[in-house]
Amino acid sequence: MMTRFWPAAAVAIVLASGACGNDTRDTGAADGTGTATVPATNVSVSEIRLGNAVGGDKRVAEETDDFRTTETIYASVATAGISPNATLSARWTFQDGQVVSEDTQTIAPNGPAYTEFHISNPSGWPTGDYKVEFFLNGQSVGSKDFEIK
Amino acid sequence: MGLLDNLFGGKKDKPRADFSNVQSGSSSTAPAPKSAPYAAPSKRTYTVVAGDSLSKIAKREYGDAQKWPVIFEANRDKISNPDRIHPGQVLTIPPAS
Repeated sequence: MMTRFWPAAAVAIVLASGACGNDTRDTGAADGTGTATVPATNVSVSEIRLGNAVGGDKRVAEETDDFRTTETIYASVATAGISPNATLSARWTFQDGQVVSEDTQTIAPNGPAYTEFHISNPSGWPTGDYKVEFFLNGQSVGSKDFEIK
Repeated sequence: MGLLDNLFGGKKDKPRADFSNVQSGSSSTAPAPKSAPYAAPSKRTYTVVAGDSLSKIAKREYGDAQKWPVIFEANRDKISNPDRIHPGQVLTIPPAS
């Protein structure tokens, strides 16, 4: 009786430990130091959009990655989850690596939310390729490339 | 190397793009975090009565007469001689360090 039960029990234990492994993913620093501080948050980024306007809901309605030199560039970031304190940052860079602008928005979302970042240049944008990268609590969560013609 | 650079156009310094006038901003539909509640400084005052000394006050306030210098330092503007305090003087009693 025991010998017939044992293999099934072993499989159950292996499956259970596998599931635990998924729940306890390593949240240490990428460099392996294991010293990264992961804030008590369960916020995640669910959508990033670029465009030349946002609505009252802070969301880019019409996506584009081509802009003119006089346009304001908007990026909307959709987040899901709840946190008493989360920081969302956008780093805009030019093709040569120059940082064009960097902005941080501190939020305490209690459900789905949109955060918009925008940049404008009264002198007109230099034409070329740009990139905007987003960080949630200091960790990269996505980026978008765009071009100004 | 300089000749090759000249021939092939290498190492010519392009003027860096100027982003000094860039304006930026952000906003969110998510509420802002609540700031930590203001913690009022835990300073108290004490009005000196006849027969008081700094060590007596320290004993009463901190449970340790040896901490009189804490009160003395916090009241330098009112006390020039720690052995001479006067009834009616209002002393600041800082938190015990």
